Amino acid sequence: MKCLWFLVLTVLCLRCEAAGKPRRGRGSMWWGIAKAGEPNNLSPLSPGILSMDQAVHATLRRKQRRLARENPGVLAAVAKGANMAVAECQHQFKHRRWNCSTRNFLRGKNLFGKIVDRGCRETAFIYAITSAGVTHAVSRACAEGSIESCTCDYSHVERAPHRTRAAAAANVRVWKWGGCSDNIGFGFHFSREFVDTGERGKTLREKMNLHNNEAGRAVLSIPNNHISLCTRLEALVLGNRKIFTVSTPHVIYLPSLNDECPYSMIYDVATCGDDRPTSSRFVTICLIHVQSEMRQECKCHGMSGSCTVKTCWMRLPSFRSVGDALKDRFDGASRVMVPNTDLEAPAQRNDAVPHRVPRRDRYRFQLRPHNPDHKSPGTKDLVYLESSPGFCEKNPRLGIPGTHGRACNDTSIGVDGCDLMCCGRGYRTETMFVVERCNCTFHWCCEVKCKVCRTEKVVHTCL
Amino acid sequence: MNEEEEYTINTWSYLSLCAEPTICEGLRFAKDLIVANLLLRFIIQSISLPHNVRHSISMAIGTFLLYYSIGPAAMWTVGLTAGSYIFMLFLSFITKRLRGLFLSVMVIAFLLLCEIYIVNPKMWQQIRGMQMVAAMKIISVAIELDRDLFKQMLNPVEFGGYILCPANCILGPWISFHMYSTYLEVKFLNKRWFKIILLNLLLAMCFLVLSNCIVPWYIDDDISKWLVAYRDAQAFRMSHYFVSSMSIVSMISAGFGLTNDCHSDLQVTNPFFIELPRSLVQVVIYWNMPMHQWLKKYVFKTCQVYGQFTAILATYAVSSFLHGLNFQFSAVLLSIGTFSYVEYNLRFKVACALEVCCLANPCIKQCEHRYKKNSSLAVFLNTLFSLITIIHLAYLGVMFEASFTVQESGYSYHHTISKWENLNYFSHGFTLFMYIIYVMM
Repeated sequence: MKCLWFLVLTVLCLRCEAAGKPRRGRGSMWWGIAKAGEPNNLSPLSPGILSMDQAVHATLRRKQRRLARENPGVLAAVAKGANMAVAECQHQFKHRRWNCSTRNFLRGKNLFGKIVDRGCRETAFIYAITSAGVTHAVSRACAEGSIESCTCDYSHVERAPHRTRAAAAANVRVWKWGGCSDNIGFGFHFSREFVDTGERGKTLREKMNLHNNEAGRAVLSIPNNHISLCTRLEALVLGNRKIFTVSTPHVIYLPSLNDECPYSMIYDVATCGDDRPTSSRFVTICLIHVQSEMRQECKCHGMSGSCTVKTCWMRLPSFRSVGDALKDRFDGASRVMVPNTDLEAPAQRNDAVPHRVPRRDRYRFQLRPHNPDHKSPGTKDLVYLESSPGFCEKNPRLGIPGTHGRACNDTSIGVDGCDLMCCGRGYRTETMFVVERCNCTFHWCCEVKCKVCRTEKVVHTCL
Repeated sequence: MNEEEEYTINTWSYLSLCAEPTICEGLRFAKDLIVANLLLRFIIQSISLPHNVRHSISMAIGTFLLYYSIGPAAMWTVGLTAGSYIFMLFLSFITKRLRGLFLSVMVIAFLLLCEIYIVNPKMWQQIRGMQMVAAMKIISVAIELDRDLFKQMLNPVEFGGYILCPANCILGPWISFHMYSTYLEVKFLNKRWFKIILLNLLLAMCFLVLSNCIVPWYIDDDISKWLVAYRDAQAFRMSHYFVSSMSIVSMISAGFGLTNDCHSDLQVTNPFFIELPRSLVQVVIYWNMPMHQWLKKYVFKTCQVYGQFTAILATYAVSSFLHGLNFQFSAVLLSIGTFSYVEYNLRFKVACALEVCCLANPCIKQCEHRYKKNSSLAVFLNTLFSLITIIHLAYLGVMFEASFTVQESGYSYHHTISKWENLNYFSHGFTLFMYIIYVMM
């Protein structure tokens, strides 16, 4: 009887908590897909099995399930992206007090634990990296042909004559890319639909999530060629907005605004925040070529080392560069609050326009910095609402495991050093034998064989 | 185990990401070549045209192909052709003997001036190959005129058709004027013809993928610098095989280089004799056979009257100047010359001393040495020399591995020296060592 009472009380308590504090992780339950394959050891790369998996479907919202149904094969890519994001997060934070630990996959629990309920920097990073992971994996899967509803991005080919003309004017010969490249356009749109499902952008926290998801996607398309081509394009004037069709690997850059719009197929300048009156039918825009994370490499062929034929191809760099970029953003993240007169201004303006796309509206908000002296955050900056909790001690309410038992480096003075990592509690030093793989050799083709070595290691662990 | 599996997947996706665009681009390049040459062949084949009209069609299609593939830079090749014809006409009034010499000097001077003063390095790297082929053709015509191999002076249409012939104006190979005009007459083609084209195209694509994707990948960067040097040199050699097979594709699709029963009798390079070389001398011969023949026929034979050494020096100078005034080419060619000279003489001495069949060139019919080529001593010595050659090839070929910007705009002095310094000038030292042995023997 006592037990029963206890149970009822517990349930009631949980309910209270749930009611008092709306569950933040609503839009982020899909992260569980990363661990979905594990218990029954299913290969996450076989889409047929995965789509059947009940456990996976339980983590998805209705719209996400619909997207998965409409795009066969996409779930495997999402799972791959989520796994990549988790691995990258753990790599980036392995020497910090919060080490991006994940919990075993349980129904109804968040993969990263209750820390997600707080709107702190760490949460911002999690949202950004998972959103980037999905975009990355889906774009790649398109190029590899494992998603039926999308293909390679061949837009470069279509663009060829236009570019050649522009290049002729500049008196340079431009290499025409004819191959298949990552369909970043599809990845971007899919990620917006799938990842942002739960975030309507109504509350402050939802705005933060949306912003960070967008930041993750924006980091994927860092323009590193800078402005490749500034042209005057004839704009289709609709109402008082100008709509351009831009081939996918470009970002629109408005010279007067210094604000880059993220990637899109069709862009209207109004979305970028251009309020200038449109007296002329022409507007100067700059197209920045987006080098998606793939790097182009070229080689010359010709008689005795001349360069008669150029051939270029794409080379895969790792997701690491994305992780590094986001980690930089994490360190410089800005704390924000929302101005009271938020959605009204753009909403009023849009009411006059007949062809409006309502879904885009949820991305149209401006977050105000917490400290009024600071600059307001840009598209690629991570934002957070509250300061991070201390990660030193175990805190079950926030799902923080504490740094007890964490390994640390006794010679470092950084966060991974024993002083900071153990929060002054002191540490234990042990000598132990570690069994690890060593002397790995690469065998044709394609396996890596390693020996098992036992090495003596001095390990420091926090008390 | 899991990590190893992932490694496999990454490897293959890397290869497919490399191979697909590579093949796409290769085929796009091949398409232009093949279309132009097939057009030429179909016009010749279907309409019976007078001699001069055929040559002018060849000239027109060739000029168009040049313009289409390299743009306005094609003017340099066309200009070289026109200028040298006018100069040749002018020379014909003055002398009947020294036209070859004067025209060679003029063409080479023109190439060097182009490189130094006029053309920007990027464009020069792009048109260098074509200029080389054109220069070779012009010089060969001039020398043949001196040797009275033509009934009369070539008319401008014949000359232009020969130099700008679409079959070999872009990638070579060099063929003589007489061969060119015979091929232009040839009219026997059948289904085999398409088969030969497709086969060579396939071969070219294989070499292209090997050069771009497979060879650079199968040896890791951090193993040893000699293996890396071998890999880079091999990637460069594969690129050369690609260009050579592509040149055969363009020749065959114009119907050039076919025997009476529609078999290809063209050979530009021989990958087997270069990848598994007997000696450096053999590599030099089989690297680009038409060019080797050209050097032998027009430079070496012409200069032979002034002595063996002068002839060798002249051959070296001409081949080096044809490549332009570039430190890297001069250094590589001079090194090849020295290495192969030392190797040739050392092997000659060893063969005489031990009576073994291990000369730089295989004995033609039966060798007069006591130990024949299948004896274990001969096999051992030949393998040893082969290995040395492979090392030399890695040492010489590593130059051509460079970042794309360097490849595109030409190799500098520092690039060459740093590559060799990295390998401690091994081959140069080793050749010196062999030379000392040779002198002491």
